[in-house]
Amino acid sequence: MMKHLLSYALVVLLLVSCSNEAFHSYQCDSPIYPDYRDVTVPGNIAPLNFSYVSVENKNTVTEFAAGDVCISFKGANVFWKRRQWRKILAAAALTGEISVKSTAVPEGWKIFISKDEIDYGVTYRLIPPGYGLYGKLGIYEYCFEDGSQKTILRNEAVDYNCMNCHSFKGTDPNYMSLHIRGTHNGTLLLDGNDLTVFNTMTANSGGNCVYPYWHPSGNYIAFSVNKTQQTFFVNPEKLIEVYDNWSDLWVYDVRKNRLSTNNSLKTTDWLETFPAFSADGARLFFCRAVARDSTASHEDFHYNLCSVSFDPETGNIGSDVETLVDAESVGKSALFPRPSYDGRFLVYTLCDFGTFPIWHKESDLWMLDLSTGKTWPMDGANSTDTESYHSWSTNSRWMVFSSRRDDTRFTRLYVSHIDENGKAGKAFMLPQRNPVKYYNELFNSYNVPNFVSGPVELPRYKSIKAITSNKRKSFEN
Amino acid sequence: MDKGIRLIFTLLFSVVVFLFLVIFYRGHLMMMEFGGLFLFSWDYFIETFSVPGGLTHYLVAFIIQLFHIPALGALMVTLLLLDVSLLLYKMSRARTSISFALSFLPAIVLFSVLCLNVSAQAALLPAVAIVLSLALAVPTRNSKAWVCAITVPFIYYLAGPLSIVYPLVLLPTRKKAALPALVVYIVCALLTYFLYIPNPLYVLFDLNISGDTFVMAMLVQRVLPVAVTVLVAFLPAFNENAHFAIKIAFSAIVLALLTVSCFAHYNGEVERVCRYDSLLQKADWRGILKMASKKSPYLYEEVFCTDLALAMTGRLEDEMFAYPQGGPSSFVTPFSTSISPLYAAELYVYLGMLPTAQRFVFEAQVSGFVGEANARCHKLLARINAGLGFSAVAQKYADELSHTLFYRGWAKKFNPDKREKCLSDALDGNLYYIDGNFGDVVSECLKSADDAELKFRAELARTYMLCWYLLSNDLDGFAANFDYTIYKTIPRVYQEAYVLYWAQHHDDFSRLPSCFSEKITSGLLEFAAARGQHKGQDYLRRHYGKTYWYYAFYSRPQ
Repeated sequence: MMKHLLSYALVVLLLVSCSNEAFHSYQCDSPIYPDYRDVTVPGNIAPLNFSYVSVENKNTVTEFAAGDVCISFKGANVFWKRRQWRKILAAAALTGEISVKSTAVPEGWKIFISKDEIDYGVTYRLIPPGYGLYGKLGIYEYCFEDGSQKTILRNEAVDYNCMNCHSFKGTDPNYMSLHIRGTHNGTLLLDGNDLTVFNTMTANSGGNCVYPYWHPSGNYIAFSVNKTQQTFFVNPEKLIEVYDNWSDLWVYDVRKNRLSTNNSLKTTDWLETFPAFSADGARLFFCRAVARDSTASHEDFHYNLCSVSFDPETGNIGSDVETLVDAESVGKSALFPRPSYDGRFLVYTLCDFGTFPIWHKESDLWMLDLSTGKTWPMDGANSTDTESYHSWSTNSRWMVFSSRRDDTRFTRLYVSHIDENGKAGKAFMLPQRNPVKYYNELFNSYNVPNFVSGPVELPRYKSIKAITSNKRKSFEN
Repeated sequence: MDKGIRLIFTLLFSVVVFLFLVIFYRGHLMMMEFGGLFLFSWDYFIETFSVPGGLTHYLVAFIIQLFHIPALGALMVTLLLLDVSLLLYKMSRARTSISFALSFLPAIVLFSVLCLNVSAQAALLPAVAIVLSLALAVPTRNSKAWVCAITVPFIYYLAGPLSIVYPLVLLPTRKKAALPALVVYIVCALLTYFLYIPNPLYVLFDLNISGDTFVMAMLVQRVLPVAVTVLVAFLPAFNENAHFAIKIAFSAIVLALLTVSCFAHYNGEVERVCRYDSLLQKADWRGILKMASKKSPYLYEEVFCTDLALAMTGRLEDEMFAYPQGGPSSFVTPFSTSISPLYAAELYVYLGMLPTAQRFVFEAQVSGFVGEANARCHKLLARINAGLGFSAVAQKYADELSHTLFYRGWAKKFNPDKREKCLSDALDGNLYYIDGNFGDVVSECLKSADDAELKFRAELARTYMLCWYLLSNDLDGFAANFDYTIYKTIPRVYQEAYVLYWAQHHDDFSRLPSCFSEKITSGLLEFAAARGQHKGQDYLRRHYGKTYWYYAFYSRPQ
């Protein structure tokens, strides 16, 4: 009977060994993929493996030098051994840079090593393309130091419900919210050790709470309630427009289980969305556009970046709505406000119109100096394609964001260093063991990247039980 | 003599299974193959193998890809069923002809379950085969109980929850070994429950289901083959000297069971739809029309494919009402969770509405009608993205297909830089597609489109637009977009529709352009007279059933 076993094993081995080398595709002007030339990276980053784009580079010699350490590679792939990488990073920590010489790129390049530390990792959703339906998706965590990916929760465990809108208190992984959509509709809240799944819709709010943002104290979460719809383009190069028929802002008091708002943020004249608390918790940033009737075109909706006062003691929202960026006046939309944790800057996404910049090719990241009101495009981070969701590291020196620059269709994550003046360094793609292979074979998009200061210890079994049990605690007004 | 019976029995069994699959399940096999994607790569193997039961899923995917050539796929299934039967026979206590025939019972149940829903249940076959192989190979009759027990985690990892067969088939002959093995199995199941996907049904029965799936039916399909396999293992040793007639009778009964199980689950409608679908994949328009002429299409998929085949062969405008029509929603499918979005996607590719086609392919990938990664969607997405000018994305999909057995050649020849003319290329301003406004969208695109550049696509789109208006009974929309001067001979359906429109807006046909046939106008008058005389719908169907007029007044779905 052993021959039976051997025959099965043989079949498997034959199948695997038949594999051939894939063609590689990338849409970049750089001679290497990912483009790690002249990027600024943290001192604890995973190895920056890359490949030469041209197949003629089989005999290319690439030499890395920092201080007295010199390491060279031969061939089209530069895949570091962890020990080698640590060694050169240690040397570069003193010099601040790694010099790279290449026979294929005579001018060479540098990799700048920043003294600014980066957080433990980044969380994100990986999702296949889909609009009305959703397939296998999950929330994952990537560790910057070793480049590994860990599953936080996959929707296979919760009957293939949709999940997203995951948010943390700043970058603290112990305080997390996660919205589930489908048969197990609800919002999971991890508040330290306490885990509860809520029904966030109340009689007054009129819908489920989405786009969460935690107050720095952890006592409040700002949400928006959106009546969202989508339409599809017939035009080539465009796919979809997602828009809100109406939307309001609400603040949830975690301690009192109370959802409240202010008339200034729950209006029929305005569409309010994308809330975010300031670093000191005393203001609430959000975006709003004039609500127009059903005859208005999508191109007529332009969101401004606004703020309103917030009292962290009482949880009361003020009525003093202030416009920080009047994007409407220049025919644009300012979206996804994310203030830095040091209180100095705010980054937002600017696109031509609407509330969903993710499918707007022209979407770019813009920086706002909160003390001067001056705003400018983040040239180091932006590309000719879509840049959309973004978040700050704990020390406000790094920004992770999603971009479609790689192939125009699938969003990938990039990290950019932000200096003390708010200037963004050239962004680098999330490192992988074999980036060409990994990204080429990945048919999922990255969504909602958020820095986390440590591993997310979501009690998986308990969470799944809580989500699938359909027992929900209700938000109260 | 016994050897002869066994040989003939085996041959008959193999022939029945093989021929049934090739002749009756051909479409089904091909549709399954379109819906899956087996990659010859180490990463794919590791990814599939990294969960309990992964090896069986890997082998299933391998077998399903062979359905590309139905005879090859059928041969593989036949061999695997034989393998299961012969392994079980070797485990039986006495090797007689009766035991031999009975050892085919689990294979019959497996085959029966396979025929029910091939894609979901196909994992059973290799799983049982692996378990039985290991049950025979690892614990020999002399091996100790602990050897059997430590084998369980290994088998559990390879074959998944179905490895319950292993401790159970040990019971008749190795009771002392079976019980520890059973305990270890339970431990494995519990460990998997906590360590892998905490879905008890998945862990215990390999039921990876959504909330809407009818669990009990799937559960029975899982349990039944296991139960019959174990039951056969428990059967007593039959008398080796049984009468020849008894041996023949047993063999005949088992073969009869096989034949009954083949046809018990045979669903002619499903098979016909599968065949239409596979012909659509191959763009075999003649094949589709041949099928439609043999049996009048009435299911959504049949009507859709027939209309598309008529359009692609330039016969839609003349013959569409010669076939049953299901209204605008089966002509151009709106987005729905009950119909595979791939039908609409295929149509939009032919029409040159590539962004809309892409939307429908993306939805199809996650809709559950096909696997998330499948050759059909990959090919469509590669072509659509190349057409739209997204060559990197197009190449990405082609790259994946380059790891397959049957699409490798296609992938290597594929040109990601081959742009295609879109119907909407010349649009000025944004135009949105809303389900239900197909005619208006195409009309808008055609206003700015350059027919010379679009060539056949413009012609096809115009045909689809006009026919859509007719199927929607929107004669005003039809008339507004119908330019009869572009036709050398105006197609019959258009003549019928326009003449009807004319009659509704004019007192007589005196000023009707001469390019419209007098035969058509007099036909309409006769139809109207017959209606006025209340001649009954049967009479009208007999005489006017293949006209637009009959569709408009009597057979348009409400």
